[in-house]
Amino acid sequence: MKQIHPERWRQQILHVLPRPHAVSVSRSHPRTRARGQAAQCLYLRQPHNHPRQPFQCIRLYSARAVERPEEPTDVEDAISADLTELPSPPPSAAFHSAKLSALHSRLALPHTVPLQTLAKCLVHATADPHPHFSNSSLALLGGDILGYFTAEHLLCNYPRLPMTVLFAAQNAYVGPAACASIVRGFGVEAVAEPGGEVDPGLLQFKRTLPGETRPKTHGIFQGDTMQIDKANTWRVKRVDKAGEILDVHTPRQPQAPADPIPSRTDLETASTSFLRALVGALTLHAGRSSVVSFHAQHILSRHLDIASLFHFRFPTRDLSRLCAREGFDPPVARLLSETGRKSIAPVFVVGVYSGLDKLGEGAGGSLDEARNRAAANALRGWYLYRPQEVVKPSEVEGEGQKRKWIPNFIDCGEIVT
Amino acid sequence: MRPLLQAVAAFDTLLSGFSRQGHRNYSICRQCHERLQLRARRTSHAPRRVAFSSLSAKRNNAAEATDQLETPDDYLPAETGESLEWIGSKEWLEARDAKPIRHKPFLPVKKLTKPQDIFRALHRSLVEIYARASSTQGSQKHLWRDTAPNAPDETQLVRFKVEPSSGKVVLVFPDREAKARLCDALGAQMSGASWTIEESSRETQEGHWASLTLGDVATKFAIIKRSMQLTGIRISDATINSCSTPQSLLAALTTTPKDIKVVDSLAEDRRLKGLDNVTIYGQRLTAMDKDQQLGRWKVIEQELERRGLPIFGS
Repeated sequence: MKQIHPERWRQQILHVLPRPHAVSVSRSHPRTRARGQAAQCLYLRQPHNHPRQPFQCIRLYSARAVERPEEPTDVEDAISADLTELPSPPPSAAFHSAKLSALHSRLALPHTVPLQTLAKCLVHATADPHPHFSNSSLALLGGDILGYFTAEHLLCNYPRLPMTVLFAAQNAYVGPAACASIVRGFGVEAVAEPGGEVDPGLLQFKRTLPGETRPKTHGIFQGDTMQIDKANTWRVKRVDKAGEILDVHTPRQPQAPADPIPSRTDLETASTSFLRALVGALTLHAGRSSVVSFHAQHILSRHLDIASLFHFRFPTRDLSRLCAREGFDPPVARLLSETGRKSIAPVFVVGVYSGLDKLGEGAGGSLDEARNRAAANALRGWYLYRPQEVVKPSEVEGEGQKRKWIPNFIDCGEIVT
Repeated sequence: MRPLLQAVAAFDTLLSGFSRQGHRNYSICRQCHERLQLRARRTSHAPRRVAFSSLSAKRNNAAEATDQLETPDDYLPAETGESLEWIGSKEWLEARDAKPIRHKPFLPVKKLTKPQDIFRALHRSLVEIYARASSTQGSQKHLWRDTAPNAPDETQLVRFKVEPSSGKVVLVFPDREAKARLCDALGAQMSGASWTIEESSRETQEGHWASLTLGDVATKFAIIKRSMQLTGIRISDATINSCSTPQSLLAALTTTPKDIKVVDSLAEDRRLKGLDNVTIYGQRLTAMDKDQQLGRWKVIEQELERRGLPIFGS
C-alpha cells in the first residue's frame, strides 16, 4: 500500500529553525523589545497597511539579497522600523513568547515541532496574506488529513452509515464549530487586531466588523455548494451558486480568479484554520504516529451520539424496502404492551418483527407513533452496525506497525426509496 | 522592689551558721541552697570550697573560674544583706534615670566617603596595629582598641618593610622625631614595650604598603576592625575572608555595593531559566502594554489621533 511522505516537504515549505533548548527568560520590556527583535526578518515582511501583494516580499528579499548583499543600511533601517508596520509578528519573536511556550507544553506537542511553526499556525491568512507567514498551506494539508482520519474512523467502525449521516458525523467531529470548540478548550486566545507587535502566542486574524455578513466557511467542498436531496439521499447533486442543479458528468467550471482570501473573518473560522494547521505541522515535523495520537486524543475523544444524527421521514417504508432487499420476511408491527389507552397520556410499546426476529422496539403516545419509532430504531440498529474487530488502514501503514491487516466490512449501500 | 528585712535577717542567720559549722544540719530548698552557696563564696567568711554532695564537679570548676576573676580595687565585700546593692527599688530607679546612659557605638555614625580619607584611615590602622603588634609581643588582645584618637599625621609618613628572613613587617620612619611623636601617641598605654621600629630617611621606598600580605589572622582581624572603626564602613564576613592584602581591603572599603534589583536576581534563577513559559519584565506591565500585546493599542492610537485627542493624557 503506497503512502505519501509529507515529512519530505518539511524543509521545502517551512523555513524554520529547530527549537533552541534554553531561550526562555527575557528581561526586555515589550515596548523596548519591539525594536530589537526585528533584525532577522523585518526585511522579509511587508508593512501592516500595505496593499495586498502576496509575492512582493519574496521578490524584494531576493532582489536585495542578490543586488546589495553587503549593504548594511537596509538592515539598520529595518531595525529602526516599528513592528506595528508588520502584518504579523516576526518568527524570531516566537522564542520570547511565554504564551506560545505554554501552549506548546499544554498541547504536549513533540519537541520536533518548533515554536516558529506553532506561531505560524496561529496566523490566519486575513492577518498576514503572505503564504510563507500564514497558516493557509498548513491548514490545507491538515484539513485533508483530519478529514481522512475522521472518515476512516467512521467508515471502518460504521460501514453501513448513510452518506448524509456520515457527512454530518464528520462535520460534528472536525467541522468549524467543533474545531472552534476544541481550540477554545486548548486555551487559545485571540488578538484584538493583528500586527507585528502582538504576542505570537495569540490567534491572529482580522475580525469582521459589526454589521458585516458572516463569511462563507471553507468546508470540505469549496466553490460549489453541496446540496443533498433528502428525498433522494443516494444522489449528491452539485449546484451552482444560483442553485441550479448541475449534472454529475458536467465538468466543473474553472473558478474565477477572484480574491480567494477574505479580508476579514470570524473567530470560528480562524480557530478552524489553526487546528487544521496544527495537524499539518504535526504531519510535517512529527510524523504520522503523532497525528494519529493527536487525532485520537483531541478529536475522537469527544463524545458524539451518531444515533441522534438520523432523521427518517418514512421509517416503515424504508424498513420494508430493507427487508425486501436483504431477503428477510416483511416487517410486522406487534403491540407488546400498553397502558392508559383511554387516559390523557397513553403509552404503547410496539415491536417490529421480521418473522420471529424482533428488529426494533419503540414506545409512543399513539400506535402509529410507537410503530414509526420501532421502525426507526430497527433502521438505526441496521445502520449503526459495528464490526467486532476493526483494523484501520492507517494502523497497518508505515514502519513499526505490528497489527495484521483484516479487510473491513463494506456494505452495499443505504436504502433507496 | 522593696528589701524584705525579715528575709534578709533569715539569710544572714543561715549564712552565719553555714559558715561556722561548715556542714549541713538543716533542710532548705535547692534554689535557696544555691543562693546561699553563691553568697557564701562572695563573703570572706565563707570557706573557699564547699563540698556539697549535690554540686557537680563542673559547677566546682565554674566556681574556681569565678574566683580567678580580677576584683576591682574598690571592691568591698558585703558583711550583711543590707550592705548588698538592691536592684529595682524606687531609689534605684531614680538614681538610674538621673544618670543618662551614654552609648558610644563601635563604628562612628558618619561614614567616610572620600577615597583619599579611606586611604589615609586604612594606612593609619595599619601603622597602629603593626606598631602595637610589634610592641606588645605576646599579648595580641585588643589590638584595635581606640587608644589613640588623635594620632599624629606622622602615621602617613610611615612606610613598611618586610624582613626577608622572618617575613615580619617593620615600620620605617622618616626621622626620629616622627617616631617619638607616634610613640607618645601610641605608647602611653604601652609603657615598657619593646619597639622594633627602624629609622630611615624620608626618601626610603620599601615597597607599597598596600601590597603587604595579611597572613596573620589576629593582625588581619585587628586591622579590619580598626579600619572599620576609623572609616565607619562595615565589611561583611564574606568580604573579610576574601581580603588577603591591604589592597583588597581598600577595594572593599571604597567599593560601593550596587543595589541588586529583583529582576536581576530573578533572571539569574536557574529554576526560572529552565521555564519557557515564564517571561520576566524589568518594568511593570501597564494596561497599555497589555493592549499592545493584543494589538489593540495601535487602533486606540489611530482613533485618538484622528479625533485630535492626546494619546498619553493631558
